Parts: sequence; C-alpha cells; structure tokens
Amino acid sequence: VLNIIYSILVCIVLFIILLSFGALVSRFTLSHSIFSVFIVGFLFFFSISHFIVLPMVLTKQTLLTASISLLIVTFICVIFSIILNRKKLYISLKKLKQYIKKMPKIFYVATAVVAFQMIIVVCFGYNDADDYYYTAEMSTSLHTDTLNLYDPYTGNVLSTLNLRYAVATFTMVCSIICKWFSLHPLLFTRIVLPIILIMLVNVIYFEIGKNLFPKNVEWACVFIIVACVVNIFGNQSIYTSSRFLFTRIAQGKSILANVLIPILILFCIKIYKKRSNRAPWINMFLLTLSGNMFTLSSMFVIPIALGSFCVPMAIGKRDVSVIRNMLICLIPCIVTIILYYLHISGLIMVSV
Amino acid sequence: VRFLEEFTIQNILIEFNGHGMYIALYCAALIYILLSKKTRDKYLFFYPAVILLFTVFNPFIAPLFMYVGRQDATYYRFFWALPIVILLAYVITQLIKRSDGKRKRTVVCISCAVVIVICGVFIGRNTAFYLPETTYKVPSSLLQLSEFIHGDKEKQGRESDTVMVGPDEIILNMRLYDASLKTPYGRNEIIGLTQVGGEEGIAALLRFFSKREKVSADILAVAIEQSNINYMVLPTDSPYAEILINAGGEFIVQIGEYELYRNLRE
Repeated sequence: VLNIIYSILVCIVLFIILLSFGALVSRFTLSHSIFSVFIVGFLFFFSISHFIVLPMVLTKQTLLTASISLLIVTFICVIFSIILNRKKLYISLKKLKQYIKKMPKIFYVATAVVAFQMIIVVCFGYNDADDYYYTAEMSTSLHTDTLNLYDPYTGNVLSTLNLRYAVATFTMVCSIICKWFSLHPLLFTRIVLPIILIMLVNVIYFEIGKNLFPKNVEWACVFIIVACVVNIFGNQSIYTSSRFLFTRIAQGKSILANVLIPILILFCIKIYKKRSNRAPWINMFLLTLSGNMFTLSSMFVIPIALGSFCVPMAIGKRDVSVIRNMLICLIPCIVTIILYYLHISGLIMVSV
Repeated sequence: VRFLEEFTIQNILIEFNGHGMYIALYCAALIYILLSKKTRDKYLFFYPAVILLFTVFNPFIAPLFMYVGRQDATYYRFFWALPIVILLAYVITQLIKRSDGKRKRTVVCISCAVVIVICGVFIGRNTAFYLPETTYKVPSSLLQLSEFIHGDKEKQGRESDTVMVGPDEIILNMRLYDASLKTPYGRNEIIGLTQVGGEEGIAALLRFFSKREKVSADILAVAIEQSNINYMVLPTDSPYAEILINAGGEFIVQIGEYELYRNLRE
C-alpha cells in the first residue's frame, strides 16, 4: 500500500513539473488551458531531458552526473516558471472551482471513463517481452550507476554502445526520475508512467475534441468517451495502438502511437486554423524534437504523418510557407536519420 | 528479391488488421468525410490518408521503403500514422450530434456501439492480463528468492557479483526487479535470436534450465563452473534435481514453486 501511495505522490510531483515546463513556454506556444499546458510541458520537458542526457550517454558519464544535471535544470525551470506565472497561477487556482462547477455532467462521465482506463492499466498485470529489456535497462543503470553501458538481459558490460537504443534516451530519463525519487523502476513503469500517460492521452483527446467541436465542451467529452470505447475494442492484433495503450503504455513505441501521433493531429488542426501563426509550428517543432527520444521509429513515422498533412494543405491552399515550416520542423528527425545510417553502416561506433 | 517477396504491404496489412474490421470502418469513415461538406475535415483526415496510400502503403513502393529504411520488422508502425481511433471517434460523435431528438440519438448511440463491438475485438480477449501478486507486478516468490540470495551472500561473506540461473520466467523477471543478480544468458539466447552452438557451456545450461532437458551431471558441473554461477533455481516438480545435486548444487530452500540451490564448488 505504501508503494502505491508513494507512486501516486510521485505522479503528482511529475504532473506539477510537466505543468511548470508547459507554463514556461506558454507565451510562445499560446497554450492557454491547463490541458494544453500539460501537453506542451510533456514535450518540452522531454526535449530538454534528451539534450542533456544524450551527450552524457555518448560520453559515458555516470547516471548520478546525468541525474544531478537534469535535476538542476528542472529545478531552475520550475522556479522560473512559478515566478513568471505566479499571477496566472493565482487567478487559475481561484477560477478552478468555478471552472469545474461549470463543466457539464458529461464531463464527469468522461472523467470516470478515464479513471476506468487507469484502473485497467494499473491494477492488471501484463508481461510483455520488450519489458524484459526496457525495465531491466532502467534497473541495470540504477544498479551500476551508468548510462546504457550494460546488457540489461544478463548484466554484463557491453563491448560497444548499442546506439539504436542509446539514442532513444527515454529509458535513461526514466532511470533518472527513479533516482530522484528513489523509486523502483517496476513501480515507475507499471504505476507512475501508466497513470500519467493515460491522463495525457485523454487530455490530448479532449483538446482534439475541443478543436473539432469548437466552443462546445460537451461534445469534446462525448469524443473522449467514444475514443475510449473504440480503444477498448481495438484489440484486433498485437500491433494496434489500442493494444499498445493497454498493455505496453510505458514503452517508447506506445508513446509514439498513443501520444505523439494524436498530438501531431492536434497541432495539425491548429496549423490548419492558423497556419500563418508561429505558435502551432513551435509546438510541432517541440514534438519532432522530443519524438526521437522515445523510439527511433519516430524518425520515420513522424515525418511521414506530418508530410501527409502538410503536402495537401500546401497544394490546396497554395502556401509554400507550409512546406518550409514543415522542413524546419523535420530537422531533428533528419539529423537522427543521418546518425542512424552512420551507425548501421559502421561509421559511428562508441566502444565501452 | 527474396526480401521483396517476403515483405509485402498486403501481408503487413492483414497482420495489422488481425481479427477485426477497424480498417474497413476507417475506410467507411473516410468516405463519410469525403461526402461531408467540411473542407477542414478533408484536409485533416481524407487527403493525408490518400497521400499515405500512394506512398508508404503503396504495394510497389512499400517493400523498397522497408528495405532502404531497414524497417521491415517494424513496418506495422506506419499504420499508426493513420488516425484510426481519432477519426472513428470523430465520425461517431458527429453522427450522434447530428441526430435530433432523444429517441433518435439513443438509436444512433446504440447502433454505433453495436458496430464497434462487432467490428472490434475486446481488449481482454486474447490478452494475458493477470491480477498481480505484488505491487511490482512480479510473482512474490521472485521477491523472496532475491531476498534469500542476498541474505545468503552476506552470510557467506562473498563480495563478488552474484550469478544465478533458473527457469526462463525467473531469468527474465529477476533482472527487472533486482539488477544486482547477473545471469549467464538472456532473452536473446532463450528465444534463439542469438544462436548458441555446441553441447557444453551455455548450451548445456540452456538445455537443462530453459528447455528442461536431461543433461549429464559432469557437463552441467563444468558449465556451472565456467559461468561462475553461484545460485541455481529449479521448479519443485523438476525430475532432474538429482542431476543438479550431482553437479555440485546444494539444496538451500524451497520458495513457492521453486527450489533454490547453492553452488558448492564455487
């Protein structure tokens, strides 16, 4: 029971950190609601983490060094965010009660549906073969105080750094968070991450619903409920995003399917509405920047998904700036693709 | 050429679609969007789907893309670029919203629910969910084994790394919970991704502990010594406990459905 209570407390602290990160850049990303701040905060926090942790992985620093560095940056960002947004925060907290009271009844049904999804993911166990790698990698890095230097399956030192996994720094960032809170990686991947990610997935659906049904929160709530039902019956095969949502939520690839792609759709809706505005493009850049840290598949899937949206819009609206902005957003993916090809062709090797 | 024959977009589509009809529902939703008057929806859902159909899902281009991108094993992930859940949820919500009157709305809701249930597959079906014994979602016997091994190591006054071997579920789960315990082989060797040749060494350990085959005590003893194994775990119903004892194993304790042995020859 103590483990569960402590895990929930960690969730709350992480939620505050993500909100602070989101609030810090809300002026540039034009995120006004708490939900969009949460989404942007998730992307911004992991983008920053990626840029701190990746050089440390490649230079074989210890987990403690990475942990302290990220903690300092996080602490500074949270403090800055609170100072910069203290007035907004005060007003928002004051309005929160009224805001919740104003919500239609269907909002509470949607909340119950989200809670139901959390119960499925948190209360039930599911053994996935890939967990034996990712969670063991976190446990190993915590035990050895290293970043990606040991084989998670056996615990033996690797001869060369496995860049395919090392470049996707999500697992190492998770190890760092475990280190901050002295939390066991199994509790983090099986309780903390599922709670945060299920919440995030539904917040994204809510935001998409709000954008598809403007000025009508009721229908955004209906949209969440329907999406939940579609997901619960989306177990056609082991490859569907819905299956990943309920069984492998804490893995980077599931984040690509259930978080990054829906966020991409959300930002595409915003780009469609205001394509001359910079804010949705800044959001999109944050998405492509953080995308590769979760799984290397992002470097192909995100450009394809973004391209499939931008190309017809550029042609239909006769707007070349869409293509230009898209290409700028895709720079992180292009850099990762180049690194990936240099690695698989044997030109980049990092010996341990 | 063999590669192009083996990996076709049709095969991947059939695998991805599995036992359900969601792809068909998605196509129906796209037709709905095409027929609707909203330009925005066409730009958001219809045109991107057409672009994807002509590029990554084009049966002529896809195999080449798989080969160049080295994404053959994970090509199904491109299907995630299709917003199936979002589009279905949007069209269903739209249908409910457009129906006037309580009775009509109820009928639409029920009809949509029936269609989803018929075309979809419930998440609990064919999914090995279980009620976990511990908050870590690993068996309690695993936690006890780890605790006992550490206690015994302390008693023995050993400071070097601890290496253990046992049934697959123990080998795989143990390192999730306790990374201080090393294993002589990992998942790649268990599932055959890394081939282990010969009859001795790791191959003998795999045969005895993973495949649960009979191995001579002498060969097993050498394999245990070569891999510096300190502790061995056997299921209580294993018929080969005597072989392990003859190979230098000393029975210490029974925890749940497992028996823990210490290597006497270390």
